[in-house]
Amino acid sequence: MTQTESAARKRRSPRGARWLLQGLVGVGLVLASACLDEPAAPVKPGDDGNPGVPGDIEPEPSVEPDLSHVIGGKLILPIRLTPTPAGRLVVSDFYARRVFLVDPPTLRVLGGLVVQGGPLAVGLWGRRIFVGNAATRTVDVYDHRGAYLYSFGGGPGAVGDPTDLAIDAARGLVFVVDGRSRVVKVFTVYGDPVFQISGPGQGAARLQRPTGIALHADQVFVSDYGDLRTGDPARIKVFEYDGKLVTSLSGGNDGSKARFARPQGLTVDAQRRVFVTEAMSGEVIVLDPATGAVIKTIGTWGSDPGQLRLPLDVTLSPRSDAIFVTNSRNGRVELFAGGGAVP
Amino acid sequence: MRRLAPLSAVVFSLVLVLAAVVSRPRGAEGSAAVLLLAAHDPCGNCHSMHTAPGQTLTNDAVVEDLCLTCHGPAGPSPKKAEVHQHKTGSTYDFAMTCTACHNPHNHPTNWLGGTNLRLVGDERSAKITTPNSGVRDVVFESRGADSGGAALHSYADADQDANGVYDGVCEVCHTLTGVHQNSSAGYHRHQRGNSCLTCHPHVGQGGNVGAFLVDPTLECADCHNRPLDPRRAVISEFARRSHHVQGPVASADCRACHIQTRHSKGTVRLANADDPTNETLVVELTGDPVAAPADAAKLTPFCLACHDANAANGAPPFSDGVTPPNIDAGWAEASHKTVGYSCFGDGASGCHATAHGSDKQNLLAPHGVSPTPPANAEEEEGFCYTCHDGAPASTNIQGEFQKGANTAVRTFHHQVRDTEQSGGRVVECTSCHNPHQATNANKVRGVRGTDLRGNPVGPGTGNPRDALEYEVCLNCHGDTYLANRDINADGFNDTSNKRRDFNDSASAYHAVQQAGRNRSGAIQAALVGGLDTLSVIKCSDCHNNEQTRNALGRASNSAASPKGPHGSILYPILRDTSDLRAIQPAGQARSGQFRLCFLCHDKDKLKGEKDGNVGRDFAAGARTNFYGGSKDNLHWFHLSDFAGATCRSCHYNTHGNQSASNTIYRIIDGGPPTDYATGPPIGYKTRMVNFSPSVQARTGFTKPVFRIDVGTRNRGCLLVCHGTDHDGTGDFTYNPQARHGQPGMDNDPLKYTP
Repeated sequence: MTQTESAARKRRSPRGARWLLQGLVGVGLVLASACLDEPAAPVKPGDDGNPGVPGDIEPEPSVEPDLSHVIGGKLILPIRLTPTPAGRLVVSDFYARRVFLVDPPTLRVLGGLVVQGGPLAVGLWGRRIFVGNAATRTVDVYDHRGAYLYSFGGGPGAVGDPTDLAIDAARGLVFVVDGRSRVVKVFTVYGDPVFQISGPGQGAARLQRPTGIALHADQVFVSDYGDLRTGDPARIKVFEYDGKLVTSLSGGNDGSKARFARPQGLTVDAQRRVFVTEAMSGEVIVLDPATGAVIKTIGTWGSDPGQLRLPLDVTLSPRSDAIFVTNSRNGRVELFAGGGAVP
Repeated sequence: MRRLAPLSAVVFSLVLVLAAVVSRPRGAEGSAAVLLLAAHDPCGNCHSMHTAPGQTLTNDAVVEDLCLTCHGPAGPSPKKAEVHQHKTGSTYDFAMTCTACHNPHNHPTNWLGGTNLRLVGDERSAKITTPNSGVRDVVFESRGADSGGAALHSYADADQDANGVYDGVCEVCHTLTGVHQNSSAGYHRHQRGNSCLTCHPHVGQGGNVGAFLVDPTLECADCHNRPLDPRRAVISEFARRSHHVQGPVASADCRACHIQTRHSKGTVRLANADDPTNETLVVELTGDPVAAPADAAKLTPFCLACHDANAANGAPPFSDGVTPPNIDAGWAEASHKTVGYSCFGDGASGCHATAHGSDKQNLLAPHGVSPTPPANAEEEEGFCYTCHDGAPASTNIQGEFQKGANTAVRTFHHQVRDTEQSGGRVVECTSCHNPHQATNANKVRGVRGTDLRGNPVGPGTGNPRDALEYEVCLNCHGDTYLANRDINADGFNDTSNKRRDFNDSASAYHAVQQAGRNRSGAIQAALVGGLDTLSVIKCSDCHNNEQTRNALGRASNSAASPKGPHGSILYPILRDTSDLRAIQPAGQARSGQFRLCFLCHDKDKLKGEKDGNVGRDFAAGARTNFYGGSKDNLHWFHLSDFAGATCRSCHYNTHGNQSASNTIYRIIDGGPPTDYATGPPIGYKTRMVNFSPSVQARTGFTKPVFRIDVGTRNRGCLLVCHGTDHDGTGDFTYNPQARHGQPGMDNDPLKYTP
C-alpha cells in the first residue's frame, strides 16, 4: 500500500457507518465459517485492533477518469463496463490488455490504461479505477489518470479469478466475484478483506458458477450459470449483505426453468429491474424483480448492428434510457437507444 | 427467441449418450472414459433438441461462441481459451474453431493406441484437419519430462519417438513457424519436449488474437532457468559471485534489458534503457559477443545507456534500486576505449563476458570459469595480466608485481596478490586505476583520492575534479597509513602520514603538492634533470620501476617502461638506492647507497667534485647550504668516507619532516631558545632536517637537536653521531653566507609566512 493510501486510511472518520460494517462483518464471518466449503479469506485486523473491522471509510470525491493522455487503441474483446460520473464508459478489454475510456455517443475510444495481465472486472470509486486482473489474480487500483496505485486480493486463496466487481460507494466496499473459488469476496476500497457472501456448494443460496455482480439498495445481485448436474439451473441470485438469499430470478414463469443459460454481467435500474446479458443467446434480458419473469429482451444473436455475440456486461446510461453492452465477440460496445425503457 | 427446454434437453442427452456408446472409437473398448466428461455433463449444457440454432444442435450458432461462454475470459471455467487463428501478417489465413482440435465429449484414442489428453483430436481417430498439411494424426499423451511425464508425445515432440512422424498436437499444424518447423530440415529445437502452452496459452493478447503470444503471467525464470536450445540457462547466472540485480530477479529485471517484441526469434535483442521502445536503438546480436568483436561493439552503447549520468532514463534499471556506476563519464577518452576495446569480450578483446553474472568479480570474463587457487586469490590482477603481461599491452605490469619478496616491513611491490594481503591491507589494480577512464596521460583518471586536507576528491565526491597522483596515494598513505601495518620491526623501516609530511603549510617537504620552501640559489644550482626550485614532482618520481633510474629528474624523463609504483627491486619501490642504514663505519659509506637523491640533486654540487678532483670549497664547485666552519662543504664532509653518513642520516624522512620523531628543533628568534620536540614549528624553514633513529642525543637531551638562530643565520647540531659529540659550537655550527660570503649561498630567508 502506498504512502498515499496509508495517509488516506488515517483520515477516516471514527464513526459513520462503522456500526453497519460491524454487523455485516459479524454475520459474514459466521456465515463464512459455518457454511463455506473453503476457508474464509483471511480477515485483516482493523485500525482499532478489532478483528474484521477495518474502520470507517472516508468518502472520496468522485473524479472523472482522464485516460486520454495514456494510450489509445481499439476494442478487441470488451468484457465489463461501468459508467463514469460524466456519463462516459470505462471498459475492460481482456485481449487488448487495456481499460478503455469510451465516449458514449460515438462509442469512440478516448484513451486507455495498460494493464499488465488480463483485465476483467472494472469499477470506479472516488478518483480510483479498480480492475480485476485475471493474470495476477488481484484487483489492481489506478488513479483517475491511469497511474498504478496498489493491488489487493493477491496471494494463495485470495481472488482466484476476479471476473466482476461492484462497489458500494457509500461504504467504500468492493464486492468481487471470484469465479475460481465461487464466492463473492468483499474488501474495503483499500484492500482489507472484510467478509464473504455465499460460496460453492449445493442449494439455492450457494453459488455454482458465478460470473457477474451488481449492487442495489443494500442487496447483492449475482449471475450464476448454475450446474445442471445438480439440478441448479442458471439464476440471478439476490443476497442481503449478510449472505441471506433474498430471491433467485430465473426468467421463467414457474421458477423451475431458466430463461437463460449463461448469465453474465448485469445491472439494476431504479425500479430494481434486472438487466442481464445472456452470453450464449446473445441478448440482454430484463427481469421483473418480483416475479423473475422476463419483461423484455434487447438485441439478437449476430454480428450486424444491434446484434450481439458473447455479450458480457450491460450498463444503463445515467443520462438517458439507453443501455450499453459489451459485444465481446464482435469487438465493440453496443448502444441500444431506449433499451433502458421498460413498458 | 431461443429457449432452452430442460425436459427436451434431458431426452436429447440420453440420445447423445446412447449414440456415443454405440459409436465408440476404435481402441477405446474397455475404457471408462468414453462417456461425456463430467465437466460438460449434461448434454443440455451445449445442446438443445428443438431450438438449437447451431450445427449438431448446439445452443449457439457458432461453436466457439458456445465454448467461450464458459472458457472465455469472463467464463467460470478455469481453462481459458480463445479462437485459434493466424497471427497478423502470417502467410496463412486460418481460424481454428475449438472443435478443430478438441473433442468436447471425451479424450479420444490416438493412432498409436493411446488416449490423448485434454480432449485433443477428432472423436473417431484423434485427427486434426490442419490449415496447411492436411488431416494429421495427433498424439498427445504426456506433457514432457518437465511435468513429470515421459518426454515423448508432447505438444511438439519433433519425432522423439523416431517413428518418422511429427505428431505432437501443435507441430502438426505449425510446420513453418520461425522457431519450430515440422520438418527434418527445419528448425525444431525450440522447447522440444516441453509444453507449448507453458508460454503460449490459448488466450491471446493484444492485436494478435490467438496463440503464439506469450502468457503474460509467465515469468522469464519459468523458462530460462534451464537450457533452451540454443540458449543457455541464464537465471542461475544471477547467483554467481558478481551479477546484475542484487536480490531476486524478477521478469521486469530481464525486460529492463531484453526487449520482447521478437522474443524467441533466434537473436538476442536488447533495448536502450533510456528509450526502451525505440526500435531503432535496439541492439540485435547475431553472434556471441564474447567471441565476435562486431557483436561486442554493438553492446557498448547498450551498456552505456544505463551506465551513464542518468541511469535508465533517470531511474535505476532494476528492481534492486541500485544506480549503475557512471562509466560513460570518462569512457570516450579512456585508453581501453581508444585502443578499440568493447565492454564485452573474452577478457582479451573486452573485459566483460556477461551481463548476468560471473564467477569472477565485476562480471569479468570468462564468466563461467571460477578461478581456482591461487588464481582465485589473485583474481583481479590476474585478469588484468591477461593483457598487461607484455602482450597485447606493450608493458609487462605483471613482472613489476613480481619484483622482490615483500616482508612485513619491506615492500618491493604493491601487494596486489591476495596471498600478500593480510590484516585488512588490500590493494588492487583498481585502487589506483579506473579501467573505464584511465588514459596514457593520466593513469589515475577516474579514481577517487584524498587531498591534503583529508577531503575526498574525484568522481562522485564533493570535489569532482580529477584526483592528482599524490592524492590517490594518500588514500592509503595518508591518515590511514598505520592501518594494520607492522612498523619499525627491524628498526629501519619507519613510516609516516604522508598527508602530514606534504602539508603545504609545513616547515619542509618535498615538492609534491607545491614548490618547496627552499628556493635559494644553492639548491637551484644543485637540481638536475630539468628541475628547479619551482618544480612540482610526483610520488612516482621517487617510487617507480628501478629501470627508470637511467634518467635524471622526473621518472618520465626515462624511456624505460613500465612506469609507475607497481614494483622495484629496491624497496620501498624506489627508482634507485636510498639506504636506510644511517651510519656506517668510517670509510665504508658510498654514494651508491643513496643514488636516489642524486637523480635530482647534483652530487657534484654537494661533494664539490670538479674535473675529477675532489673538492670541498665553493671554488671547487660545491653548491650547498650546508657549508661553514673549518670544513667548508659539510655535505661533502658527511657523505665522504670521513663521516660515513648517508643523506638519510640527517634527512631521515625525505617526504617531509613534520613527523620527525628523533629531532628537537631549537629556534632562536630574538629571544631565548624554544625547543620543539614533536616536529618543526610552522613558519621556520628547517631544510628537511630530521635525524635518523641511529643518531643519538647528547647527554642531557632526550633527542638530537637541530638549532636555528634566525638573527645570525647560524645553524648547528647538538648530538652524538658515530661516537663524535656535536656540542653545537665551533665546528658543529655552520653559517653558509658568513663562511663563504658569496651571494646566493643560502640567501633564502629562514622564515616564511605559513
